[in-house]
Amino acid sequence: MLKMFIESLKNLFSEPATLPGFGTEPPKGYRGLIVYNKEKCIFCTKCELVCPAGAIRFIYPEDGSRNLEYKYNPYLCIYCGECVRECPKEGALIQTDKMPEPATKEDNPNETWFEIEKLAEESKKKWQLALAKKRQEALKKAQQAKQGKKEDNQDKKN
Amino acid sequence: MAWILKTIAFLSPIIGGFIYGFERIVRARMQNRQGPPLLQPFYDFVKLLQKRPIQVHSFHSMMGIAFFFATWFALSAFLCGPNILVGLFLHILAMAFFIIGGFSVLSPYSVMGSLREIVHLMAVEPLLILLAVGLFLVTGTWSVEEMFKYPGIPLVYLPLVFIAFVLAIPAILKKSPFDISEAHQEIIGGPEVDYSGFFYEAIYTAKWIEYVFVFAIVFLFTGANWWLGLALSLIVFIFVNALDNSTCRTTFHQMIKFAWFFLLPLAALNIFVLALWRYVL
Amino acid sequence: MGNKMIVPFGSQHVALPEPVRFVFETENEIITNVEVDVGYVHRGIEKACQTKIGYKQVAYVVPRICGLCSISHNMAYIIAIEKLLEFEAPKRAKYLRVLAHELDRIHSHLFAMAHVAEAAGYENLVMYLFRDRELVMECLELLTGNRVQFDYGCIGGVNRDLTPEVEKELRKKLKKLEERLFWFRDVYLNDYTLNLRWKGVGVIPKEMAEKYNAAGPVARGSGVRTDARAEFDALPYRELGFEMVVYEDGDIWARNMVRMDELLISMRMIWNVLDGLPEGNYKENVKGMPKGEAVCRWEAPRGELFYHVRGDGKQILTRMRVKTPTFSNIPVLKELFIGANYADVPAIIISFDPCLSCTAR
Repeated sequence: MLKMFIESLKNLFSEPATLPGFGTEPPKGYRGLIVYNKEKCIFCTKCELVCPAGAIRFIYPEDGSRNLEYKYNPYLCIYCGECVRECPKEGALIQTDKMPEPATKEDNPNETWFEIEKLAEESKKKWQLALAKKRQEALKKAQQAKQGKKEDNQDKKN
Repeated sequence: MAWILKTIAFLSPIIGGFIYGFERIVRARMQNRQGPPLLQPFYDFVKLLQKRPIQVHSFHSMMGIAFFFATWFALSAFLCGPNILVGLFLHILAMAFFIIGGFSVLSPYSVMGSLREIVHLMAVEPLLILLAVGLFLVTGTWSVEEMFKYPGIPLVYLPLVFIAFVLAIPAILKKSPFDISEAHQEIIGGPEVDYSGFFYEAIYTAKWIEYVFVFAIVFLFTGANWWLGLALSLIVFIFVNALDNSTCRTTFHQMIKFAWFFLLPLAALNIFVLALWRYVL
Repeated sequence: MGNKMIVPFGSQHVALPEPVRFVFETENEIITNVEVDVGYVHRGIEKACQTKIGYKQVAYVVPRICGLCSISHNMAYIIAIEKLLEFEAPKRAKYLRVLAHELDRIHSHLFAMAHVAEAAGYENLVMYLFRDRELVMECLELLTGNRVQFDYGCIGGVNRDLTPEVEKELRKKLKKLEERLFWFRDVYLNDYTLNLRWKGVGVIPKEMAEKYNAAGPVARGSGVRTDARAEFDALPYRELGFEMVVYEDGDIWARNMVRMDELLISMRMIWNVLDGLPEGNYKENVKGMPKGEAVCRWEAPRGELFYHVRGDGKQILTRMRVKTPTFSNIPVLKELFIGANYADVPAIIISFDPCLSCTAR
């Protein structure tokens, strides 16, 4: 009891420990926002498969090529850094020190993200159909080319 | 002299508010944090007036307002009246209003808090009456106005009574180690748990008036030398706050044992020796 | 003084840090009967881990069961999966796991002791303890990147390495913390009013603790020698200087002293880790799919944590079951209340250090 008594009297004349109230910087190595570089990405979609919260979605184009569009939700992300570790190309995804901006009601973050999720699902199905069609056509062409070559050879023999 | 006492009694809520605000800053600094601004009790007053009050029934709310006015009247009777004992008994009446208000509600926390408040009264009031008797022995009058004109220093004749009073201040002002009736971790506020809005403001202000009451009694111990009284009350203020910050809460069995078997014999011993020395030797 | 009253110590209360509901029947402020209701925070985590989430990502879901003992869940799950895949982590990763876990134990015990002091009405001690807990949170932020909910372990090692600048900062802060811990130990041991309030209150005799299977500091405060760090060696505790702390009294004071002494032993283990950190990899690749059953028993700050994992070769596990320490302590709590004073109830509940988010997952 005496120790706390003396400590209280000492603290009465020293500076409080709760100042400053706000304005401190996060330290180095803080788990912050994820930044994407489009030039280095090879579109393997490993980051989408490994994210525990489902915060990265890709929107697939119509024509079956490999030119995907990257969409990221900073309000679902848990900043674990798994996508950065899984990415096979160095520098395509980087984890920075910055903290995310808070969203207000006018931004409507939930509704816009639900739209993007639906768009990603539908565009993936269409892209797979388009890719299957492309592959079938390529296969037919290859078979026709083979047939054509055989007939050519037979003609030559004859 | 009389008009100083009358002004203090009339303005006692405002003076009590300043003392309470200053005490919050001192308590916060002792805990190594920055406290609220000095005028915080008055900001609370304005905020509580804007809230919508929810009443249990009208008798309960009337007891709250009666507690506030009775405390103000008791302080005025104590400071400007003819007899110190009348002021102390009116103080008991004001606490009785509070206790009855706590009993009139069905909430278990309120009832338990009122029971504990009665225990507080049982522990503290005998000591205050012994204090009045001691002051009569030294100054020769029962009237507070005459006591403030006494040229000597009653503290020299009543040291043990003063020590017993300072150790009983936590029980009057509801601070650790004796803040049993409003233990907010156990019974969430005791008898004041069902008041809200304007009626809670009445009880909150009545507590400020108790601060003026306690420090007026400290000033009585130094007679007419009020510079010494100011210094003494500053020392008592810092001591009571440091004691608040270095003890935990006790149970009511321990509080009653401490008050009846240690503080009361101490004060009685002092008065006994003083009476023997004055009237026999 | 009084007659029969029914007092709810409900799911919302000023002194209660967790949502648990007790209904007491008291007579003259002495308790005669009690009813318990647990389960206000049920979120369905076990079902989610069995249907939607792959086994690698469960390591990120599971630490979010609880806020204070989050890294215990993380590590226990990872060690259970590593047993299934028959993989042993490299030595540097094991030492770093011990470092993060003991730092978490320090901050959880400081939080628990501050709550017990608040229930006794001693607000000054609460403010001092929380001021010194900030030092530990800053250390954790430097090491893992987050103050609470750090997902530090991963299958195959740990996520981040300990660089030399971080080690220098850690040493500075831990030195300051150690002096304050010795000061607090003196206060808890010798304070007169705390001894008045806590000695002889809420006593659990040794037979009752063994009969009802109490766990953690509750059992060790009553003289039962049980600690999962001494019985199972998932991490190298014995060579880092671990000792079990046991007190014989069984009251609230003894449980607080058990936590206080465990803090000092954790500080000693952290110094040993920082001085003798081996070189090597901090993470390795793991191949294979989980097939079979595995069990991991781990010592969280509140007692023994138990993980059971079963998979059959696919990405999603078939069964994951968690048993938390607070769930084992609730039958002892019910027995203890009967015959106690109502004024001691908040102090007893908080001295058990309940963590209801773990109990009702």
